Amino acid sequence: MKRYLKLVNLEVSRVAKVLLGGLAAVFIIQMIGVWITANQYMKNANEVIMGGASAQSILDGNYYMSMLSFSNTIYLSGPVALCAGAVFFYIFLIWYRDWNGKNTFIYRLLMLPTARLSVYFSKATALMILIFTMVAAQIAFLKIESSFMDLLVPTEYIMETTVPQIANHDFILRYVIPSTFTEFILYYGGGFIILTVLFSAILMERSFKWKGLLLGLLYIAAAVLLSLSPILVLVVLDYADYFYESELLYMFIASSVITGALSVWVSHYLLNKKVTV
Amino acid sequence: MLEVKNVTKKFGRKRVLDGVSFTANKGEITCLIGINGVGKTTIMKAILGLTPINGGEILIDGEKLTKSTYEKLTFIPDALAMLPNLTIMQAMDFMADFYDSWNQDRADELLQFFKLNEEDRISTLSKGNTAKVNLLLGLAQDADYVLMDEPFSGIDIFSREQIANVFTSHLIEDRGVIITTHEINDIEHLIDKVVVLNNGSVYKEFNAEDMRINEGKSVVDVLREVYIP
Amino acid sequence: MSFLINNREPVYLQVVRYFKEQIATGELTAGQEIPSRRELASLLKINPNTAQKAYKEMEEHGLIYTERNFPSRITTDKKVLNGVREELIQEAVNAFIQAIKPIQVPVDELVDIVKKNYQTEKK
Repeated sequence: MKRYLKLVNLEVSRVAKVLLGGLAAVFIIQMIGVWITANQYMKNANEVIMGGASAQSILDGNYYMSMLSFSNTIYLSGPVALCAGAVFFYIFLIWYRDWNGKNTFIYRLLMLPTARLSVYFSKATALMILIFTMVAAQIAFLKIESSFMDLLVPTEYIMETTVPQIANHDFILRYVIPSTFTEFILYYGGGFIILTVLFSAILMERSFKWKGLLLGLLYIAAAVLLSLSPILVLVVLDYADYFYESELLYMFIASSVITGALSVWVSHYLLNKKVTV
Repeated sequence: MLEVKNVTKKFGRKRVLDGVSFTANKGEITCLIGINGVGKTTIMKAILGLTPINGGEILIDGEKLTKSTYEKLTFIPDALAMLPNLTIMQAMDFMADFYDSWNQDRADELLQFFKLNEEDRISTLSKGNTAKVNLLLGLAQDADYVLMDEPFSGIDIFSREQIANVFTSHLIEDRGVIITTHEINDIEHLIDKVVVLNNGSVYKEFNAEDMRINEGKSVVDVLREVYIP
Repeated sequence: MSFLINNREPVYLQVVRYFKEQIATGELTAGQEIPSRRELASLLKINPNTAQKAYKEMEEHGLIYTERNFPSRITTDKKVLNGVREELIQEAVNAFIQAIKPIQVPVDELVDIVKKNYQTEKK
């Protein structure tokens, strides 16, 4: 346990600088985005007023400014999407960086007097920490950005919104900052399971090279099928209608968890018996 | 005693190791010799569990490799087995963190011996000094068995001398050392046992001094037999 | 210490011969302390087990003695010490004779040549 935590610490500190830099960039871009959209609104409002309409008519027309207008813009969603992409990329990099020519740190990781599964879980944990840090930062950013918007747009034109409202309105953030606990468990639990499946595929490639790559891709496909299997079976047998949606969901969750557990087991086996440096 | 018993390993179709057997004892320096690609590094990695084998078995003090074996089995590969952006001190702390068998006194001694500065970042070091850091990280562990893969490769002559000095010092005392090298000249009279590999198996396993006593042959003479029939 | 190592001849014998030479020339004196096997290995850059073998050989031939818990020393036995000098001289002379025999030089001529070369060598 102690060694697992040390490894988690190591993995997190290796990526900390990049994380901080990335978050700073996200913040700056989003703030610029708030600036731009707020000014855009003010420009439009002023034009309308110049054209003879009254300020009141703007309010009567429900033409408020809020963070909701900011959501779904490239300035908000863009950085989020990029971060998601970066995380996805790091799922692979977190392994491959230890294997590349100059950095043969994987030798050391595999020769530690600790269960190799600790190495596996430390990388998985580090990724989850990375993700949650980003999410927490994004929540904080939204609050700051809201306040910033309050500075740029006169109070009468502002419609206050909460972070959950903003998140729910954005087509990407609704999944990143879910509005219900159930959704949180589903999305992040599901994300973790996807992570374990990808880890297995990576380890297959590291164990068998080209054959492993093929095997890995097949495994990913098989994992998807396995997760969906209860539903697929029912659809094929035409029994799907007999079940409530929630029941189908529970089946899906169960088979997904099994897929995840299987992936962890496969990774454990590969890491101990088949992986080669 | 470290025993390699009838180990086979295939890379694709090719049988790189085809029934390799030899032993290495504590208190002795065993040298694996053979041309490039004969499988010396593969055997080392197999002993350390860094690559799987297709057949045979490897026993360390009578037992198969487990995670606790890594406390008494240390590897000094030909590439740095550490994060290069760390300073030497940070690397040593890392080792101390994970290995119960880490001996900081010995590490400090090696720092002096190799004239290294612990504040230096490993990525800034020359090839020779990086090799020495690698050695330090491996030797400062109170391991019973030390495996070195090409410790002299690409190293300047003065660093080589320093490294060769390690073999006669108390730093190797009572440990079992397995080393692969091409630079047989540097260590011909330092090694106890020679294991000559050819075509995937052991051509000959002999004690260097006994070969001189009994047959008046140097290690290089024996190698010539293998490769220039 | 400079020590040239022949890779074909048993190293431990080379070490023993080295010690004999040192004794014969008086570099090592009776009762003088000698390095530990590990120190010797380090100095000569040889395997410690080989150094051990050399010491064992010298101990058996009475060239050195070791008291428990003390470093080894050169013997104080005068007979042995003189014997070493004798032995090396005989060895060198016999080797020379074997080498020169086929050329069939008369002994007197040989001795003159040896004398002359020896003088020039000394310079």
